[in-house]
Amino acid sequence: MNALRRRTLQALPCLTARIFTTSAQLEAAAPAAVASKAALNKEFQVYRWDPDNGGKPTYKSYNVDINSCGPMMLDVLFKIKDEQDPTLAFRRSCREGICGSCAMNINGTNCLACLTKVERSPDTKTKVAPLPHMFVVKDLVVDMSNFYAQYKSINPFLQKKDTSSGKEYYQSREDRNKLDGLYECILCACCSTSCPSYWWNEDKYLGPAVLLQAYRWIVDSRDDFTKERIAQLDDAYKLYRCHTIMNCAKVCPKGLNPGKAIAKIKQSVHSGHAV
Amino acid sequence: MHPKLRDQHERGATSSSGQQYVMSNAAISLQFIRQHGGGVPEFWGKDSPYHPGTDFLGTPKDHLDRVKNRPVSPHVFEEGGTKFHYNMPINAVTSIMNRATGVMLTVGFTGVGWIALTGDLIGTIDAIKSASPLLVYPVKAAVAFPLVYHYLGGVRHVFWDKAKYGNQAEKNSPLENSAVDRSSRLLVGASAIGTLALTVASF
Repeated sequence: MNALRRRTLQALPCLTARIFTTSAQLEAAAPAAVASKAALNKEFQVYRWDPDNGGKPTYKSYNVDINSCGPMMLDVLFKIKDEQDPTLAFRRSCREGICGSCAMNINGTNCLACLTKVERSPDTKTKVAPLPHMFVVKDLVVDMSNFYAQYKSINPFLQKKDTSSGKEYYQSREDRNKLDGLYECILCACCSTSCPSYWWNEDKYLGPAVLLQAYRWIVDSRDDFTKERIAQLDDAYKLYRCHTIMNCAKVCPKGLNPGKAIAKIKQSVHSGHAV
Repeated sequence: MHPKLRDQHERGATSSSGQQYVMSNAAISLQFIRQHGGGVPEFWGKDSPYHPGTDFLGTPKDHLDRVKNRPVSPHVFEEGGTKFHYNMPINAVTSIMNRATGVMLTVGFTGVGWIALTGDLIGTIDAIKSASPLLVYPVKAAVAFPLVYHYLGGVRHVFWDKAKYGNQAEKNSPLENSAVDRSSRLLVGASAIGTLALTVASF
């Protein structure tokens, strides 16, 4: 006990020093550290469309010093919005790849801006566009309402025929393992909007993200509506517009594989039980 | 909720079995043209057999009117240009090639069938051969390539459909990213070899 108190007392001056370092001192130190690196200007072309002015969408160029900016594409967008153009609209929230808000198309590939590193070469331009083949609300913000309605249609929650026992539902370790690689989906829509089949049939084909979620409930051993779920997906458009193009697995920022889940739904429809 | 969708939820929709909403090919292509000329897809955001509509999100009453005035973000091609926008990986390229070779086979076999029914097929081929001998190998390659590619692409599809898939987290199936890349390269390579073999071979 005494030893602990002694150690705490020894650490105290160091602690107080840190607490009483003023914000002014910190601010004075920060620019010096940044200034030690030479400016590295890079051109970013950002898709712009303003609903108030209408007209055709355009790409607007912004030059950003990527040496005085964070390493990720989301940092670049923030820097543009803060310093050059406050009218730029984009969605963001967690900045660490768990909310899925900043899904967009960067250099032709769908990704989360917060998990995508800025290409360091100043000679190449980086193109930033909204998720492909979606209705644009403003700039990089697209209308996700149809996507969410599709998610609602698969009843994404545990369904029981009898809930009267009032007890928790047990699951074996093997059954729980079947949910790995499925439950991590954050519904960012990177996969669905990378899928040409979803581009041409976005009203009727459910798309990789929603089908992966559907499979997540089909294989859940605790769910009592497996047969109904499988039967509901047995549709020429909802499920069978998937032609195994596999763009979905290529772009998933969480490393999931919707295409594989869809292949297993097709086998489930064929066999009549969860595969 | 749309009555048909509610029905699916309650009774498992065993009656639909995928056939109910299938349109004729003509209707599909008309819809394709309409979609590409602009406009909102038929069931987009609407309470329909496909989903319950967007009312539950609190979208405005004139939501669909607003959507009509919004541009569709660039997908295959760049905004207003002919440059490609989406950076298609090899799996997507081999997939669209499978569709393209299928179309080539349909058109080609229809043409050949038409000639066979209305005239002399072998005679026509011999006439072309003697008229322009330089064209023999290019034409043979042009016939062989869609045949070989589409056949092998079809074999890959059967393989994918019949394969055994383990748990989602086990990364050892033919639909993993690395496996799909490998089979795509294999498909292109094998088709090139097959095309070459059929081109130089004489029967």
